[in-house]
Amino acid sequence: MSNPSQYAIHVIVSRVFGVPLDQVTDDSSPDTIAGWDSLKHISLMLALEAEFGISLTPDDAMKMVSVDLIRGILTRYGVQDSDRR
Amino acid sequence: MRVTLQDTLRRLTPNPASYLEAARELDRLEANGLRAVKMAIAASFTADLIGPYLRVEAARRGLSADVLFAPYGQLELQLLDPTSALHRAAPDVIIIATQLEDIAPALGGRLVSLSAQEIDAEVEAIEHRSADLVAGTRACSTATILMFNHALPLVAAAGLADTALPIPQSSVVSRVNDAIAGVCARTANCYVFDYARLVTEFGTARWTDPKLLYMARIPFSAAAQLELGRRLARYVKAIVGPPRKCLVVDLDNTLWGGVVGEDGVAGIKLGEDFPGNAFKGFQRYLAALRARGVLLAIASKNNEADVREVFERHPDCVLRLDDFAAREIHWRDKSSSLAAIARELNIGTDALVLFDDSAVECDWVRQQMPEVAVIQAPASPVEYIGALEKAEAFDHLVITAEDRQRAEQYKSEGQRRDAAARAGSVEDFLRSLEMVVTIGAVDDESIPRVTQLIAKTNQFNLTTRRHSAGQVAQMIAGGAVALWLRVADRYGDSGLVGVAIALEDSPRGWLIDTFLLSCRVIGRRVESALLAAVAKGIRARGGRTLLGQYVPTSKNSVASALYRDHGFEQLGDGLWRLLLDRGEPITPEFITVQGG
Repeated sequence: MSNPSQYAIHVIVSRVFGVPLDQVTDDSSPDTIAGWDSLKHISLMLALEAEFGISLTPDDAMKMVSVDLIRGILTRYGVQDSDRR
Repeated sequence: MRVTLQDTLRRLTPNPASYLEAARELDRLEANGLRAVKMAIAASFTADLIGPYLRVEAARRGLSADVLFAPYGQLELQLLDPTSALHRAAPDVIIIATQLEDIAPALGGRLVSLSAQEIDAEVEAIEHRSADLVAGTRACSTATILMFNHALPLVAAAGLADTALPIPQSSVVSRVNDAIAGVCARTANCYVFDYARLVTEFGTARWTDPKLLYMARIPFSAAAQLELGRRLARYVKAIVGPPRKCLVVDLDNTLWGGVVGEDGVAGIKLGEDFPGNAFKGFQRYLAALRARGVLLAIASKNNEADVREVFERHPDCVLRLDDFAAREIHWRDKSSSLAAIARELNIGTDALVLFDDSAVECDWVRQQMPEVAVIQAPASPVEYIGALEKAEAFDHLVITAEDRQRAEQYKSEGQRRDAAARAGSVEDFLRSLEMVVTIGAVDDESIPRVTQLIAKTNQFNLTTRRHSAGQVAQMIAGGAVALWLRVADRYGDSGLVGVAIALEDSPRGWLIDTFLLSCRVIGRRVESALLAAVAKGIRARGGRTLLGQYVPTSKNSVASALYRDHGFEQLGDGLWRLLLDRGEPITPEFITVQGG
């Protein structure tokens, strides 16, 4: 939890799915978060886009199925520690 | 720490995460103090993502919206089946949302190759399907129905050549929208949701996100979802009302720039150049509000002679002094002016909106009369219209003939008051009015105005039951005696201003479920004529006993003596009884009654 950007993703995931922040981990995924269905997945994508001011591709959206994978994708868009709100 | 609704709404940012979070907090807040509204949406696409926006934006307007999304693409299955999940939820508002691409794909990309006859057939098919959906929904539910119309496609079928087509795509979409408007206008309690205008206001290019469209059949971008939720919430607020009735304005630095008492008529800013043109534009906007039924009033600390001179002599003053139904121009405090205006117009102070440039006056009124909607004029007059629009204070889904005539009617009301001041006794005055009352049965044509009165009449309203148009229609179908009353006199026509509905409640007799008069005709004794007509109506159906009910509210004490004054005996529990064989209500001889 030392990386602030990592933390920012956790916050978004927590807010979108309504899961307490301390229960979000890098391994959080549709398998561990009950409300992570296909529609909420779209909400998550839109929330990440709004939060970091980026536009994700459909490919990104299909692949971002865990917090760890989301971080990997966001890194490619230049989302850095300093991007944290 | 206890989270309040206000905290939740204050923290909002235009981000899906923020709205999702706020919507969940709304769910958690028990007894949130909001008025509950059940909504159901049947769409030809995935509408579910607007849920949190709709719920939160409704909360900002004082409503707790409980929204059911029917599975997409199941329009007929959900709307026409009384046992569907949608109807089982017993919604107050049903939204039918379709996209042209879903219901008439031929009018999209293939339009260029269609003949005029084929286009006609497509438009007709949409009209028929819309009519069937609306009629089928109405058969299952008394809910208010909102039906989406259609936006122009982002990509024109013929590209730049659209306007050169024999029938341009833009004309086809207009025809479809006109057809939908016709269907809604012919159905009680059914309105168009003007999606086309919303998309245009926001921008067609920004409205869709192709990624969402193709991945999830969601035809709006993240930002558009928020706009759509907000606009739907605004419609729902307009449906459940009640709307504000009167806009009270200040004068100096509100209707014109500068202070007339200091700058003189020639020195104030009002004309064709900036900033005078902005004030002139604002006056034109107020004239348009007046034309659609909003009463205008003045509350200004000023010398009346100075003010009169502006209205009478300034060539660029759009509004005339008698466009204002009430005028308080003096140096007394503003809240007492507002109270006087409400009294004069016979409306509640909660029906007032104040638009004033002074922060001090605005704060004073907010403290003294929290029920008044106070809008402080922005720093620049170019922002005035936007500030008033943003307040959403005068939203109506229909404008009735009564709305259009309201301003003139209040003008005649002023003449009536003058006559009252001259007449010796009340009865002499009432006789001098030469009133003609017309009474008729509530039908499809009168139901919109009847429902409007049921929705907003607070004072002379015996039971204050807010029936929807659908509920009224159901009562009539079930054998109720439902009557409207119109009043005209030598000064003008007040329009449809009274409603009475009596239901058979055997074996006890016939119960007057609803009895109300618009505030415009309180004190004119026309209630006697309406009550007499109700008695006649139930006699014609073999009824012999009339039961009246008075349900007290904070506003309807003016109606409390109706049944006592008309010979009813008190039964207790607010119930009154009149045995018709022993006597019927009598209409005063100075009222001429037609119909009934």
